[in-house]
Amino acid sequence: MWFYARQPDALVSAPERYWEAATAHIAVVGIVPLTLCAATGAWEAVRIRRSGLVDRGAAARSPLVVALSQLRTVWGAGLLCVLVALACVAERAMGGPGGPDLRVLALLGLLVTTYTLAGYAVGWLLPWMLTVPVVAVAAFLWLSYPVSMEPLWLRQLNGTNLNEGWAYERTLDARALIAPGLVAAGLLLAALIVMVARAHVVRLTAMLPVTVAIAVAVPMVMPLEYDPTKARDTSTLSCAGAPIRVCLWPEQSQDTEKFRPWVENAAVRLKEAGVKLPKTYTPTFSDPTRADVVMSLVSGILPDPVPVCSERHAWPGEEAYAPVAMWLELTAGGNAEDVADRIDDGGKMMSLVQDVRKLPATDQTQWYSNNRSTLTRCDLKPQLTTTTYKGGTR
Amino acid sequence: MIWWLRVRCAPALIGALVVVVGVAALVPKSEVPVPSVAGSLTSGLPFRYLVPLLPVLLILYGRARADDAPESVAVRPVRWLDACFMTAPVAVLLLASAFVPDGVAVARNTAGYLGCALVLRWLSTPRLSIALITFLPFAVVSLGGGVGANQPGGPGRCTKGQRRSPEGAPPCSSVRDWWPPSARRCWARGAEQTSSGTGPE
Repeated sequence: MWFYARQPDALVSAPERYWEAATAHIAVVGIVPLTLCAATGAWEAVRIRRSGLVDRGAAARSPLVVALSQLRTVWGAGLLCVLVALACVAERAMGGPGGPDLRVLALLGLLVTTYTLAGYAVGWLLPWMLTVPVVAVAAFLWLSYPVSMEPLWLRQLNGTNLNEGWAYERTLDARALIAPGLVAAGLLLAALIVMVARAHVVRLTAMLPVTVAIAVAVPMVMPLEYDPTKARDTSTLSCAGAPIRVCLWPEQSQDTEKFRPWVENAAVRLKEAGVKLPKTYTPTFSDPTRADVVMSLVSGILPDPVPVCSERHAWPGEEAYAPVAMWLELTAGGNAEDVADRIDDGGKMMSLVQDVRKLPATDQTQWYSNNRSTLTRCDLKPQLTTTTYKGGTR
Repeated sequence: MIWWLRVRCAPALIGALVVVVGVAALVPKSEVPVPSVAGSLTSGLPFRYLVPLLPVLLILYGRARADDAPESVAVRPVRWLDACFMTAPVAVLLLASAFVPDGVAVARNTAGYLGCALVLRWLSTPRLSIALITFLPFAVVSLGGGVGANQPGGPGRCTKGQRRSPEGAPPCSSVRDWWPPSARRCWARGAEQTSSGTGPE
């Protein structure tokens, strides 16, 4: 359990210093501990069944008290795993504003309780030899399999899929927490009914809370599909600066001193070169290097989706994408070696762009606006060679 | 003989074999993501390699609930019959591999699980061996490299769910799709940390 609680790559997609994202990432680590909790719960149930103490004679303690005395170690180990996982993500989130997300921790606590008790309850129902394997495989499949299944929203029901789609501008959607919580609560109730009730007819009513919970939870998660996050409240953004307003999330506030001057410097150079700039710049990373800032600024200036017309017609502008991007990056003050590294065509494109950079400023502007406009439409041909511009539009 | 078959739950075993063959033939590509301790977050455990647990567990269950005392003095050669009963499913799966893709591997895994469980049974108790053998396929995939480790969009995960819009997208996906094939390099350097993002133009 400990081993799995500290998977090294589990946290790659968590933005740094963002506690909410980091805490959400421990949910996926819970798959193995939860399975083991269920299996050990079943093992304990089989143990007490085989002892033959329960069905004969008068019980001095209620079934719940007996279960509690048997399961508290398992339960404690499960909770310990949650804490170990939290300690492992803490190093990525340390230094950010706020603290661990208590909602996620509460959900995991509920899951640990539910799976321990559910395993124990199933242990009373099945043939005793087969209980542990059936419980372990069923719990594992339910916790792990839905991520590779359709429909996509199915994965939101088991509570171990809070790690997708994270970025600074995303926050947990409450529905992604409530729905698995409901399913877990239904399962917990069903487990309690099975443990307390003796008659099989009464045990059948255990189906009821599970059915109700699923019926309520499914319509809740259907609009979520694969993504448990939603757009974050933009009022926490702090924006400042000119000619581009640099907007930073509270988690990035430590890097303000780096982002603002670098962006300003690059933006002024680009503006002088006649490039139309976006109004705001919201970086999605922290701990920037100068190259990262220039690169992300440039890719924000380039159009993002492929033009719709390219699905039906030839799109001559495609070949202009790389030179335009390279020219923008060099103009913004990017390092020439880094830029040349991005393409391995023997430096042909780089030398073309270097030739363009030797043109007078107005010709460069003309070159840029001509070729930039071919990126969003299919009826224009890019004019990349410098000979077209020399002495042309002075 | 009828009792012997009933104790060994022969009808359920036949049903389990049908399920194994059905899974291997109908959903050969299905993979269960298993948390991995080596490198990547998850590895894919092909579902058809997991289902052979079903007949193996049934065989062990049948063997465990047999009454050893009367069987040891039976007229019929119970030990030999048991040995045949255990090898028969593997033989059936091997025969089925004639028309099931990758059927030999499924039969191999069945034999492997069964063999490991029988060794464990000899070393410990029947109940413990059944419980431990369940974790074998998961442990193997989890400690090893993983079949689906190189799939796009994360191993074993549904790639359909990948976000396409510019916000929060992995920086390479949007730009790389764009570039001429000869120049397909990631414009953004270091996919794990950096990413582009600007507000509305």
